[in-house]
Amino acid sequence: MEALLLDLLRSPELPYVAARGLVLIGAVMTIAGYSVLLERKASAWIQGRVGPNRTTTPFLAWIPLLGSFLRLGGFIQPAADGGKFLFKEDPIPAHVNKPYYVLAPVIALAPALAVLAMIPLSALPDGTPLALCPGADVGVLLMFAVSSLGVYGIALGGWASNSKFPFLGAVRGSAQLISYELAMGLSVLPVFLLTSAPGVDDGLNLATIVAGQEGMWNIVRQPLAALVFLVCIFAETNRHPFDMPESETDLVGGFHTEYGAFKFGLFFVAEYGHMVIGSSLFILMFLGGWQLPFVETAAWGALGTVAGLAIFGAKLAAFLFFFVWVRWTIPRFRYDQVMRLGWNVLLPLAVANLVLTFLVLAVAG
Amino acid sequence: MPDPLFVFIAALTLGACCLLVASRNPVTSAMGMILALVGIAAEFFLLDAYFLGVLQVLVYAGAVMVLFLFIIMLLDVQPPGGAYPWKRALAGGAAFLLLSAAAFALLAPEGSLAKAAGPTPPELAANPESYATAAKAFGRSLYTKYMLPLQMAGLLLLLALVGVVTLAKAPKSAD
Amino acid sequence: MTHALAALDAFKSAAPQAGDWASILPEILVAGLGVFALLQALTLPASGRWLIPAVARVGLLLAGFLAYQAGESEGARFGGLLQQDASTHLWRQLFLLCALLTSLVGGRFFRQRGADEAEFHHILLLVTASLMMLAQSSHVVTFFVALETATVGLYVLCGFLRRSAASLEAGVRYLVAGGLSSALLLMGFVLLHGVAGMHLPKGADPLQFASIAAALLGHGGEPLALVGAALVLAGLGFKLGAFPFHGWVPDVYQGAPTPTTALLATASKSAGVVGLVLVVSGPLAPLAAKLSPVLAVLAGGSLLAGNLAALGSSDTKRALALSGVSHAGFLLAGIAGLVTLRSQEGVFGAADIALPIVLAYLLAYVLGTFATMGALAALPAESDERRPLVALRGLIRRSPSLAAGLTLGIGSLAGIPPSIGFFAKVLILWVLVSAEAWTLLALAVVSVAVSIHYYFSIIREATVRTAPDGEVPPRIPLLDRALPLGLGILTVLLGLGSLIKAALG
Repeated sequence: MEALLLDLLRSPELPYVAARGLVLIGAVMTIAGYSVLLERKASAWIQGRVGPNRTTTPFLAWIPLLGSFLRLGGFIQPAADGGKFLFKEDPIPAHVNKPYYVLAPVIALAPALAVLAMIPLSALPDGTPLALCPGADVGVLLMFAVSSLGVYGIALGGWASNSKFPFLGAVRGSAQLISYELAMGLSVLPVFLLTSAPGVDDGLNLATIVAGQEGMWNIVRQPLAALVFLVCIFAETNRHPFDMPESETDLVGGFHTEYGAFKFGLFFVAEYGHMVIGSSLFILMFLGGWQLPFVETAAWGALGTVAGLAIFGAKLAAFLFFFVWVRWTIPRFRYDQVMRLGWNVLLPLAVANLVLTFLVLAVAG
Repeated sequence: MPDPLFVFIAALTLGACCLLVASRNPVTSAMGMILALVGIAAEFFLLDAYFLGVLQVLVYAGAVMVLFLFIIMLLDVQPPGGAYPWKRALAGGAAFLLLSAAAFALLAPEGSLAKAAGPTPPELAANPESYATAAKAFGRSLYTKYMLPLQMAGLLLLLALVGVVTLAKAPKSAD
Repeated sequence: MTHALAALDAFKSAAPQAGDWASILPEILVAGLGVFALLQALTLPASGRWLIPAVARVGLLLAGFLAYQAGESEGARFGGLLQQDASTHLWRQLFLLCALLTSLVGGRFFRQRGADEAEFHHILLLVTASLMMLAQSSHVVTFFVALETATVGLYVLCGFLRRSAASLEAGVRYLVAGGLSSALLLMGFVLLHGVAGMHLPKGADPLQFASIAAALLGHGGEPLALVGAALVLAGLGFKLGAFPFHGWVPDVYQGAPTPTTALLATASKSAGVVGLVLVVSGPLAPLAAKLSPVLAVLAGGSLLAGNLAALGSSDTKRALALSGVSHAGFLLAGIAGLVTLRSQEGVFGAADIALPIVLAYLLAYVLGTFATMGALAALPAESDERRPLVALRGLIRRSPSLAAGLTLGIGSLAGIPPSIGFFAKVLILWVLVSAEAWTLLALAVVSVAVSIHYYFSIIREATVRTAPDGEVPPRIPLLDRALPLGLGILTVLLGLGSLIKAALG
């Protein structure tokens, strides 16, 4: 059993790799679907509504108690949504640039999936990280690098639609993404500085960063970095209050106005995938990853791995709720405000924090 | 026999380069270039040069090419009209292929092919400092031996920044 | 913890030492001044902005003094990234002189046209600092970074008058040509690095010039090495504006603002020369026997192409640009002679003075160019990129001092005795005689004769022809008039001085 699990996790043989890929896609689709449910339920709750509570299926609904719980909680809704995306007619408008129009959703989703595979979720009993595709010693950089490729999906989608509002959304969105990438990259450098003390050899590995937070989370040691990074991941996921590429009040639907059915679904999943990536990175770098303060899960063996997974999952769920909470609380920024915040506030703050950390380390170390 | 993954990625990269050169649609050219850059990064990974590969993606594919694409889209560069010059393109491509094949046959030193196809030489694998692919070894030589060029590159960036601001800022309305 | 401390100590001992930094004090000073110019622009009120060029010029003089003080100090610095010798300090002073003269020519020129002086000086100073670094680099990385920094700055300076379409076009053209040449240079170095890496023992740095030379000594005949050397030569040929890579020269020189043209013609060309000298006497030294005919072809082609094209030009700036190509030919001829002499193991020690002769030629060229370009820049014109010969007509009446400066400067460029330009040309011819490069010698002599034709047509327009009636003499500030005149007189004085020295010694 254990050998099979390890093989599933580590073996480079093709069937195992394919299995890992299927697990990943299944997990991402599920998480995305239930994030949508979370979004709808939480927004309903914030606005004093009920939210989805009608969808049901035969058989399940006949089970007493559980059936009505599933229906009222909307737990079948994501499956219905997914099915609808799959079976809807998939139109391609006549005026689009067809190859890029079809390619764009794929380009949007692929980097997100690749990065999701690299996220370490917990520590195995032997201390190595539990991830579908554990990164090299440059894990964080690799994740930044690959996730930055997601911008091409937005840019191409808007451009290939050959239509005014999608194009505006694409231009705005890509400008926003590349602007906030700078502040994001600079904001986490102090974390690497703290982790990569002399003698530590893989300070860019997320597992090392998590291990370095044993005792004290980085959000306590680097509150400013955490704040800047937090704002930047909101901007990088194009979520409220930074949803420049969509901004339905002034751009109809933004870059995916011309998309429908499954292609739209892919963009949608990519957005939630980026939300999960952003949340996971924040949790891993600032909130102690799969650790809890004062609890030595590492000493529990296989149980520790499961506990770590649960802790990480709980933190992730809480963080996703936080995303939704912000969306329904804070109004959208105007475009010039977005740019001003990114370049005039966050970037200098990140640089200042970096220099400050340099100085503190130079004096104290 | 070289690694099949290497062959696949190399073919992909070369194909992307052909797309970059031969396409008349600027967006397609840019996409070809992005694909080529990512392909080169993948080859770096196959060479165990993870850090270089990551930098390649982070800097070129993730940042520089976004700006390229951005500008191509904003300028709305239209492909030139008229029929595609197939004959010229094919002739050029064939000439280039012949030339590079000749150059390869002429230039590749004895035994270098066998060496390239084989595994990492043990003397390199045993001495990681000389085969600096890890981020830390990279940073170490950057901040010791190459301190001076690093500082100069900093000035180069400053210079480029000032130059861009000078060339791009709105003209003074007073004069 | 002790492990960490040991790592820190190893790090500190591998990092550059204080002595290394002290040896590049002039460069640090110039680069620091460049950054300081930006700070001044931020803080100074509008009435105090005259300080920016003043500080820059004083700083340049100070740096020149420091470089002069460095005198004979020699040795490898920064663990072999830099190599200083006696000529290093001469190159440094030459680049500082170019920067100072460009600042003097460009200050009012750019102010009048609404371009910002602080940024101009910032870029100029950083370009100068990197050119000074280039002159002492002995490692591919320093060489390339220094050359690239200078080139990027020059792109910006070419397009500096960005309300002029011609200036912007010149900037873009130079960007494309420069990018291509940098790519060629880098590809060449990569191939050389490959050859060196295959043959060098473990621990040697296959990017260092001396190591590349050591590797080429035994394996210089390999096709890979030859292609690499050819690519490096082509890349440097672009920078130098030498035949057959001179296609970009006329358009860029003509479109660029005149002070930038002067800087391109002097500092950038000197950079090409110093780069070429470093490369042929460093990594490519073992290939000397193969290189000298190639260099001779480049030199002869530049001499012919530049002069013949300049004959047909009716624009002063364009004619001067094309004449710059032929000057590049002269410089290349000097380098070709140098390489030949070195490969023949020194006839009368001629190889040792060939390099100072090239430097002397550059000095003469710099003075002549700045006298001419300074006069052009001072003359009001409708658009800076169009300065037809006819516009100079009757300059002697309108502004005698400018006409005198222009005439003396052109006289030096043409090589009329007793200007220093004459002696510089004679010295290059002497190098060619020593190297027994008879074809090149004949070409050089013919090209001097041809060049006199178009140089004199400029002088004739300025001095002999009378101005059209009713032309109002322009009001030109004293400094702008004094600079070309002073430089012109300097070319004659230096020429006379060297004549006297030759007669006495």
